[in-house]
Amino acid sequence: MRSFIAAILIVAGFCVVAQTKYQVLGTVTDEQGEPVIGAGVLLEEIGIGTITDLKGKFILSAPKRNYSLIIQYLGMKEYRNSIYLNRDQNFNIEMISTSQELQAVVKTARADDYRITAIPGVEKLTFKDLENVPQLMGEMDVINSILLLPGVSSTGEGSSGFNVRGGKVDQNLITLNGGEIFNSSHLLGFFSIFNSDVVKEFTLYKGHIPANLGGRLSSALDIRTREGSYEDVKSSLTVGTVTSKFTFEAPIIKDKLSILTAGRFAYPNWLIKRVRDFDVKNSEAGFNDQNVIIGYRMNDRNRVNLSLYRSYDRFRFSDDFQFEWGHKNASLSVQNALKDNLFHEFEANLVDYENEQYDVPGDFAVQNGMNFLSIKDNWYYEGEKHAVNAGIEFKNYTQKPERLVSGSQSGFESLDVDKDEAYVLSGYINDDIKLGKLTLSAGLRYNFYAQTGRDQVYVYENEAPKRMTNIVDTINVASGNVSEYSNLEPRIGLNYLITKNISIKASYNQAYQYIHLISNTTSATPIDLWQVSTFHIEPQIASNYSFGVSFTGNKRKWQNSFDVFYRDIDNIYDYKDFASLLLNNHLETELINGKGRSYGFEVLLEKQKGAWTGWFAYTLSKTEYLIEGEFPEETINEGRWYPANYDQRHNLTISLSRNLGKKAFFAFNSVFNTGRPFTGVESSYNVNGAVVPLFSDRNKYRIPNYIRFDVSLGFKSVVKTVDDKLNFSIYNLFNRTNAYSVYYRKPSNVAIIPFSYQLSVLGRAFPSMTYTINF
Amino acid sequence: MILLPYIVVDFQAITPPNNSAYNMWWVLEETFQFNEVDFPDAFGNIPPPFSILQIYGPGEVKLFTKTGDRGDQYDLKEVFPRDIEESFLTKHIFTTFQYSVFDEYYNYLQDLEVLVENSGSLFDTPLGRAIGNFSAIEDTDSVPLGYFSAVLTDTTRIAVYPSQLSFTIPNKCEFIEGKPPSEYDLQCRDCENVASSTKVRPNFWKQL
Repeated sequence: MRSFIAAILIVAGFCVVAQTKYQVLGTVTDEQGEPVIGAGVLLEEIGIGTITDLKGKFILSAPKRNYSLIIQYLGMKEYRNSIYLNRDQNFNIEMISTSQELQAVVKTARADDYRITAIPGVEKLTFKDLENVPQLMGEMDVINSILLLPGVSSTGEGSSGFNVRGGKVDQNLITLNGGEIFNSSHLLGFFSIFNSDVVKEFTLYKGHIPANLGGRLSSALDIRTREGSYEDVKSSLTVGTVTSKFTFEAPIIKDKLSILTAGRFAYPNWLIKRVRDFDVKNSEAGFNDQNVIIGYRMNDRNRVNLSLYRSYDRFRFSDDFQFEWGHKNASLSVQNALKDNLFHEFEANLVDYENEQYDVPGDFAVQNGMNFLSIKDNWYYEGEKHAVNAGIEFKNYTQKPERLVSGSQSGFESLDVDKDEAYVLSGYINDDIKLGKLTLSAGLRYNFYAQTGRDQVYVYENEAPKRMTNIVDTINVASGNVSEYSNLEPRIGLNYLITKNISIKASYNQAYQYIHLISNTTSATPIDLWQVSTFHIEPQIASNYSFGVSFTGNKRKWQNSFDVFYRDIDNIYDYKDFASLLLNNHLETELINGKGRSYGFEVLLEKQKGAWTGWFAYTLSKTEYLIEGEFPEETINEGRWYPANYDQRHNLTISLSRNLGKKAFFAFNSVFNTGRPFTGVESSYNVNGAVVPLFSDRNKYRIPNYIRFDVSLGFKSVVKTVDDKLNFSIYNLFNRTNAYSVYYRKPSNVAIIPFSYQLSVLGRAFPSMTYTINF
Repeated sequence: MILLPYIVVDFQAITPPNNSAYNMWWVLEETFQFNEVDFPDAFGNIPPPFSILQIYGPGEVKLFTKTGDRGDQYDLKEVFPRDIEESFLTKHIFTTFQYSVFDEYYNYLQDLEVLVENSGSLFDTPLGRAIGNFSAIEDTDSVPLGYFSAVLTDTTRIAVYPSQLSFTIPNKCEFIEGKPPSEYDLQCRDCENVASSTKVRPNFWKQL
């Protein structure tokens, strides 16, 4: 009987110990008050640790006793504090930046095992991660940086946007503070429109896309800007051979209200004029962009952020054509920390995007664009095992009328072609669950899509191809929506730690895309037209699957991952032969839909510690379409699978850097991409004296492979008394003439087979230098 | 700016008085004579004239369609502009063929028009294959070219005489005393060098 009582007492004693755990909560910010994300937090005595989340917050549970609370982050002085944990305690910790000594040890701002612990296909980067990557024309850039990652590629210099795991350019959701970006390129893709001086961080979701992001099939690139300093007046000036920029930030009311302004402009024409080729010499290019960001901290728990952005681009190619395009964005964000683990965020965005293509000899221009409005109400709860994100989102897309503007020499009448309008209302919930070694991210997103304008639907003749001449009736929708779609998007991603150094990952998601980028050319250009889904142009649907394994060693010198992916797409759109896509309000007659698939294998070997750091990234992939309609004109390549315009079999990137002492570094990039497909002329035939070129099957041939090497040499603290940086870089070191496309052209009114041309947009080595000084 | 003399072929199309679609394809053929240099010889021989019969505007496909209630009469100006040069030194006959074609054939011709006239600019339509109405019975993988169709043809011939022109055309094949033969154009020395040349004069040459 005595032994029975003893046993009961022992059990009760353990229970008492378990109940005396207290929570250590905190928020880690930098000197500007910006959250420090991914900082390591440790209770030294018992070895319990975590990392800070997106809001810079952390939470730990530990029994009552004395602890050393340690927080570490790259480029910041270690925070160390002795605490006595006898109740739940909350800390607001400001970390102070240090010099670059740490960088010799750890190059990345991310945790050194983030690939092991992260959900698959998520690349979260700050510009700290990219400081030593060679920079084109001396400019650190979001898009150029992610192009070095496995599974991310572009179709070469001159193309807009990027392709992720065999996805089209329009299948990437690109957001700036939540507002959609419809063309992420400056200077025909040499730069992105995001100024690195104001970007706080950017996250590329190429595998598992959380439920709070939706509307595209293949990836999401979420870019967030920072706020200005709430304490000190700061500014910086960067002067380069091609671009220059400045930032100015200051507290308007100390610790309450801050402003950050930034501007950037490019002046490449003095270099363009030195090129020997007549057409290039006769060309002009330039861009500029401006940011104004106003931050208001009502108190520790509530803040408001207003971000204004404008960009403008102009590119004129000889006496042939001219492009102009630009965005105007306004973003309002209200963030509330309702409790230490419950956050609310309200976002509203207005975007005005427009572009124009001007035909110089014809003296006429075609304009199009998009007005975008989004409102998002997001709730985030972070518990010990669950991190729940839920909310609703409303997006409205209003296509601007497509406009033909005729000049005095054109001989045309100006013309407006009405376009369409639609909205998407979405509700979503996502839960990141920690179950021991298993981390699970499960989400559900429901979309209700409605086309609200134009209120006309063309009715086509049955059992006949969709052609303008087969329109038999026009339905005028007097009230209600013109067309509607409602869809549910499930998604799940998981990470299982086999050991602390090895994890396996898998993800699945289904996605719907309601807007489509319609291109008159074989590759995306700045003047492509965004078209919302209509009764006849249905949403694209994709099922994405990925599986991977990541591993590292005990010293975390390397982080490696192998991933396979497969995407299955319905309603992929390609254009008919001889499609007439400009100034057309019945695009369904020019487009045909079918199936698509892309699949591949990615390898990433990343060395993150030691004298040399960098990565080797290789992707083997294939992207194909199958378009088989009822009629020959609605079938491509006789109904066989054919490669997509942007299909690239091999992508290889090697990116290396090495510190040269404490104040200098050397970096090197090499890029190899298989040439993308094009449709070639194989022979010709004669009809009544006219020589008619005979084209091959669609995308039968490929342009030459893309190969590029870049080098960069950087110096810090060039002048001892000031905070400055100097960067020299050579883009395309070996002067290779990489092809952007192959096209055909012939003199008018002459009966000959067209000549083939290879278009190279840069085609030569491009040295540059930038000097940055911070005040 | 130098203004070169040219003539144009205008079309007037009168379609049946109803709203039905009407598709036309116009082809212009030209016929003229070409004379070699008359080099003096002991026998006083005059080189025989060569006839040139060729499709004019082979780099173009001229199409017209009437859809809906656009009226019944159409005046189309300067469908075929033609520079005036040595070929107008003698009678120059233009033959216009107006083909009335079915919708499907018209669509095929439209594709040909795009293929022939596309200059490869960013504003041009993406190109492909013109799909005809032939199919291979044995080698089903091959794609035969061309289109079989019945058409209604209307042929008109117009002659332009040198006397109708208000200016003089220089004759580069005219014999000039002391000019070595090698300095004349190849065509002037031998009409075989002129494309589509033949010594056989077409039957309609004397009818106009």
